[in-house]
Amino acid sequence: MNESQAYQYFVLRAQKIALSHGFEIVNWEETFNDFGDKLSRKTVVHNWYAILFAQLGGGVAARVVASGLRCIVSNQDKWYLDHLDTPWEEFYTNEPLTNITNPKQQGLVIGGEVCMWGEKVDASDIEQTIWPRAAAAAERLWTPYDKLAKDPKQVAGRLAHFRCLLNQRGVAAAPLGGPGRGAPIEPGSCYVQ
Amino acid sequence: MGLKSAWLLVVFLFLGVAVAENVDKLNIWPMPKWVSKGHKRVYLSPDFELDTDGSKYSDGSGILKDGFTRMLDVVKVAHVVDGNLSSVDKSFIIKGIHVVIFSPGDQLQYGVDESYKLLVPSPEMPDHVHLEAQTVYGALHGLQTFSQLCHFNLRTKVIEVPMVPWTIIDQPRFSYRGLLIASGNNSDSCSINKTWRWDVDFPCRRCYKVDKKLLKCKTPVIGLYEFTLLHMQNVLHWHIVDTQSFPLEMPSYPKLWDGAYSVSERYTFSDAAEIVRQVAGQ
Repeated sequence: MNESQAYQYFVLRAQKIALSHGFEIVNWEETFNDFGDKLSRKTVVHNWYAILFAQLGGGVAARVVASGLRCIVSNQDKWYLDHLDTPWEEFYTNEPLTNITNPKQQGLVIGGEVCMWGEKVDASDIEQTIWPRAAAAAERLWTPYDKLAKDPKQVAGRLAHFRCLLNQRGVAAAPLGGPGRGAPIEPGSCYVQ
Repeated sequence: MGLKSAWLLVVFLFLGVAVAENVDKLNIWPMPKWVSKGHKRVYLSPDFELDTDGSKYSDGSGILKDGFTRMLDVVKVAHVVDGNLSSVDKSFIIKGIHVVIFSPGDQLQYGVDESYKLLVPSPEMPDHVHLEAQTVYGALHGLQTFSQLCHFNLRTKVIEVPMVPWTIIDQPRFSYRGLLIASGNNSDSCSINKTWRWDVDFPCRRCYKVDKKLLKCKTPVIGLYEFTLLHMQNVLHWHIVDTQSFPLEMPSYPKLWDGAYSVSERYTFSDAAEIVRQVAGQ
């Protein structure tokens, strides 16, 4: 047995054990990319590469649901919170159903997840690295598609208001302007930062 | 034609912009599925209460009661609410929230019904808010939305709900809405700021004050998760181990957590179980 065979053996055996205990099974997309046809049909595949086919060899969400499996979207170019240079607008406009038009396949995208990896944060700055960008993605996942703004500028005022509400409630949510966990641009009202 | 029509066009364009801006002023995040609002204003009684008459859910584990308490805490947190309602017409005072939940169970699993309907005030009980939901988890979302309708009036010093009557019918587009926190890649020390402080007995927990008494202690993971509810996320993906460290106690493999960064930067099995229990209750 070589290394990649051992990897496959381990994953498939772990899947069986988890299923026998009644758990849902979620795998990062590597298992689908490497031996997708061997996976249990109950597997939920968790995407993390880019969502568009042209970038980084991604587009796995569309391929996962076309194969009949379920998918969670966390494409790193838009929904990785440790990417400090990704502004809230990109978190807001990241559409999980990009390139997925078949209604049955759309139903297999069960949602998405923003990822606060540990490389760029510790307990001293984790809150302002997560918020308000996580909230921008949360509206994408909650609100009906037709009510989402096509241009994030249309919701900037409302998100700024929510950011100030988080601050009032004790959450260290960063200003909207600039990259993740940025500083206020100038003296002024919370609502304009 | 000409000038007059052009002026009309300008007026309509202007109105269009004004209306769009007005909709934007609906300061609720995330935007609910369906919202209508009015032009009146009501005030929250200082004894604002939770009423569950007619609910099939008995709240044996206190999930709803805790959610109600949290909602009131965050609504009041920014100011001293010491206004006097005695001169206000009683028909404008809201005494409580009537929560009706149709499902008796509180089992939390993928695909749980998270829909809710919120009416401020209730048509049948005008001195109450009406909130109904299939499950207690839908009701928790309704409480979060209600908290965003409440404002502290700086002139009267009371909590008010402007723009009543509100009707909000809501449910999520996707059933899985997650936040991943990777505590395994980094050391998990406690943070400190104005409202939170160290608790020396539990170095990986942090505590906050409620009514001048130290009441609640939480691990940073739970503290972070608590606020994801403000914008309706429903999954905490706790990435606890990675190549960098293995801080979790595994009773069946007792040497595994020797892979932690240090002897103190670890979670016991019971710590982890408690975090899962508390997060599930939110």
